[in-house]
Amino acid sequence: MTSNFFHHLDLTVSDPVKSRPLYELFLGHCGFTLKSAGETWAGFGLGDKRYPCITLLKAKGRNAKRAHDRYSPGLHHLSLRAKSREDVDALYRKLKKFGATILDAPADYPDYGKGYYAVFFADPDGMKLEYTYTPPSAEKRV
Amino acid sequence: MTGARVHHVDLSIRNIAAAEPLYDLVLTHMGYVKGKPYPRGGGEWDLPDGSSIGISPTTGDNAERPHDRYSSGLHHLAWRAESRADVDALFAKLTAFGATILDPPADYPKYNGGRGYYAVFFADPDGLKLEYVWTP
Repeated sequence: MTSNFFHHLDLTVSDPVKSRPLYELFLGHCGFTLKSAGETWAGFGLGDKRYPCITLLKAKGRNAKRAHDRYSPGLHHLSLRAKSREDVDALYRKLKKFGATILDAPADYPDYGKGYYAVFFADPDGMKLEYTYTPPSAEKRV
Repeated sequence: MTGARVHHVDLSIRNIAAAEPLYDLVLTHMGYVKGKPYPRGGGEWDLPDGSSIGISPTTGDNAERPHDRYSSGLHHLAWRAESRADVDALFAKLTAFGATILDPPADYPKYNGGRGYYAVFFADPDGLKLEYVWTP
């Protein structure tokens, strides 16, 4: 398995309608488009391909209103790959204009790897998202 | 397309020692290689393209809170298998390991517009739902 994207990723959010605009911005910047959406879901894909895809699903059940906590079991954060430092900055500008919650503005993180440059932000549920550039030379870790 | 690639996904795990062998089995099967440990415990597995999966220990007030995939957060994560036989091969390893199987390999004609969807669903020790799927 050498795919650089998962087959798919499903995330639960308290309200897909509310969360959709931010994901449209982020995933749209990454090349995804909104394929289908309703009150309880929003599906994003690439071009005319069915996979890979990212889907937002509406929370339900007894913990439907439970606040996300990335330090509890589950998703800590998701990072998609930027093509350059400028690409990270470009997304950051869009996020700021949109009014997204910025956790950490674009910065270098040498502790995470040579040339690691990333912006961290949160979706309306507080789910942590990241857009990261690492130079190809830093990817020969294995 | 610019960033339509995963850089990494990090998961919070209650008991790293309990979960690590399963992640190692699954990710090694998929071609990941065990990489650097994290300072707080846990660590990551890397693909040759630099993408990675990391696990780190839970902490804070909700460190022991059971995962619920129907509340905000991860619902499930699916990796792409190379073939139906590849799905079966991972399943064989998972059963030998004693992993929690949610749904053994099966066809899901209702997915992918009926063009083929063959997948196994399983869970890590915290109940995080994972999937290995082949679509043509």
